[in-house]
Amino acid sequence: MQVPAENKVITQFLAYADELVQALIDLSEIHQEQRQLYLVCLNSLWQMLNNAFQQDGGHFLSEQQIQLLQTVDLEIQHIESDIPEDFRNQLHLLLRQINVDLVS
Amino acid sequence: MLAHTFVADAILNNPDQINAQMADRQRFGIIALDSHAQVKIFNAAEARLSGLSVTEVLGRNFFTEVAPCTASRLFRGRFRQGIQEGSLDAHFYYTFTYRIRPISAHVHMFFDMRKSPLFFIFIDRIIQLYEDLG
Repeated sequence: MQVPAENKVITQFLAYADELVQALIDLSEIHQEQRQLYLVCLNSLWQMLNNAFQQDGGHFLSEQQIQLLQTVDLEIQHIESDIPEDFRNQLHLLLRQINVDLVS
Repeated sequence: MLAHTFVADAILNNPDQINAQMADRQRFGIIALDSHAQVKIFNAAEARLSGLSVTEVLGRNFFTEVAPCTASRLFRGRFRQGIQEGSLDAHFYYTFTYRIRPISAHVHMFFDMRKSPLFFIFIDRIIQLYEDLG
């Protein structure tokens, strides 16, 4: 099965962002900030993709779309593993309870 | 094209008569929310199919605490639209993917504030997709 171009773009983006995070692993304070910023980015990306794929509910997601969402979700879980719980909770609240005009 | 609703007319015509006992007798998922999206009814079929227990979801916010993958423009957007307008009778397909085995469902949202203060989400699982993805 051929992988759609957008899946490759997202996969490459995830790999590059991971490199950015890992590049500062010896500078613990900045490294932690990079991970937190990356987590914000990944959560937003997941919601953007989910909104785009679900559209108006006229069809189900394709196998490729599900795979891409799961890839991003796995990366979120990986980054979350050593992010303070308080930060994770604040981020979830921000993304899910933000102004109605910005996020449904 | 969306199929016709799987919810009996007798239920849609009398939403004020939907309670936990009646909901538990249905084969499809029934979730009832108040206007703040707090879960008021979570029927037995939905508990069985989602793997969540009734006691752990009652009183919690559906979109932020129970089913984060529904915090989308389509799913939560329709809920907010219905609450704002006082009524909603909408069907759509939705694929649940967030940290669960992908599941596709036919969703029927129904709200008529003249008949009941509760916003109903009826969920009929269609198929479990791509099981090899786990």
